[in-house]
Amino acid sequence: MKQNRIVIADDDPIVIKFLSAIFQDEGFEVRTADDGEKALKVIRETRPDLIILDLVMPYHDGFEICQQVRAAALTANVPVIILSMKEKEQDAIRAFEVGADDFIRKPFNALELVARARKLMNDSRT
Amino acid sequence: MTTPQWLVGNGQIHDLVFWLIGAVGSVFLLLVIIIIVSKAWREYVEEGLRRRRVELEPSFFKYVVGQGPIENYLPRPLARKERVLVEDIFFDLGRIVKGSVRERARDAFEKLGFIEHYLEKLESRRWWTRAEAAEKLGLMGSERATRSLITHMDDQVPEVRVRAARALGTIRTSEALRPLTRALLDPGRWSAIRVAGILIGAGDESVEILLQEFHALPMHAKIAAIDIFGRIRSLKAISLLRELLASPDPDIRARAAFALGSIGDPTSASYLTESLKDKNWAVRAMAAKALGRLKEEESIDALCASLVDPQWWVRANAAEALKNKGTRGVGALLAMLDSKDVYAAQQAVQMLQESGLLDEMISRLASEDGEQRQNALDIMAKLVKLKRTDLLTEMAHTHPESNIRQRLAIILGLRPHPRQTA
Repeated sequence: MKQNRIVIADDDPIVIKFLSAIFQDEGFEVRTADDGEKALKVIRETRPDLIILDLVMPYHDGFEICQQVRAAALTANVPVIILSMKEKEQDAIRAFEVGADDFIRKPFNALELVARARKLMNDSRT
Repeated sequence: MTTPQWLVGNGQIHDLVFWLIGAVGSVFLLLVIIIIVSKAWREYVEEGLRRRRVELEPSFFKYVVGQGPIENYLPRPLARKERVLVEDIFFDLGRIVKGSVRERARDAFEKLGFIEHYLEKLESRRWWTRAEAAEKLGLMGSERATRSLITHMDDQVPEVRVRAARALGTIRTSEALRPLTRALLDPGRWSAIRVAGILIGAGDESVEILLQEFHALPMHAKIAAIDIFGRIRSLKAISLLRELLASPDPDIRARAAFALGSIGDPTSASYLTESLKDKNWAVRAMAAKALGRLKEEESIDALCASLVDPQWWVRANAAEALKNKGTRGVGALLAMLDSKDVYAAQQAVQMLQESGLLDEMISRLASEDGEQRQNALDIMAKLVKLKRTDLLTEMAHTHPESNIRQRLAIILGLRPHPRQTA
């Protein structure tokens, strides 16, 4: 059976390590990036089943990356979850406007994040 | 002048200088070696800790999303030095996660004896050790530390008191938060802003307690509590805040109005509209500001009436509120251009300019739709009548479309109307 691929992009190493560990335990193949430029490169190379993006990253922020993901034919339908420390509701609205499927604020509930990720992937396949 | 005998001749001085240079050189060399060795040792220790952290992290990550007790997940019993690593891992996790993962981290701290360790340190004679212990207990969020932390809110050192208070704010139980609301009663010992910040961080849990204790609070604490309700945007506080709009104290009424605006519940509009008629101008101003934050339209007529309020602050807030009310609010501002009250009309112009509507009207001067064009021309004529031609003059020189520049120049009288030249 094909392993689900996930790209996690965040400039906070603990987020990368923690999410990588829990998604690997859930049977995902995990690729990571710690800035916006690497994130775009990894997404292009991996063609993932799910993308988790931090909003604030060096070079490209989560909004820009999400826009580029939606604009590229190969990744246009890949579910995107945006994780953010930002509290403003405008950020959540903008995230959905640029095509994100979900917006989760940090600190987040890890088990809920995994459940949401699974649901989004299932929805994108049906 | 002759050189003294002891400085020349027998070569002893050369030996002395030689040994002196040698000794100083040796000391420097020794210092350099000590610095290099200690740096290398520190890097070696840090590298070792980094490696141990990498080794331990997966076990702790598995534990926080798993089921059993921490002991089942540890690769081996923890060495003393590794306790710092465990703390760091859990504190880092605590920054990014909440819910059950955080609770399991807290359970691990209790099981591994961290809480006992810091409770002991909290009783240290050294204040900085007590301060550090209070901070760590707060980060661990264990309810078992509540009593000791409450005791240390009376510590003789202010820094320890503040860290104990912050720690109680992160524990967030009613037992932990109640002493913080009481701290609001003692402005000589506690900064109200600092305590309010801690209570705001605790969120809805602190609202519950403040609501229970509100009527027993002195005036300055009531004011702080109202601000906290607004900052937390708690729906639970709405009914109290509406009651407070009828308080005999104008400061309370004004702050209650502001807090209702911050919460943003549109069903508060009728209460705030009533406050636009308050006898105190600060209450009216805050009510107008609050209405500008609510997504509703029932207050538009009352806000238009406030544009002729005797106080400029009320008029300014009412105009700004109308700008935020969408098409109907902007329509009301356009109608105010005909107002006999010059100040109200000027406020309306300013808000229409800020909302971007005047730019849109200027663009409509070139519209092919005759009605739209006439509408825009009428508004421009009103602006000229009010002598608010700053934007029009600027656009007459800088607008990218030449026909709009020409039309604006004609409206402003900068060039004659084509019929006049004909």
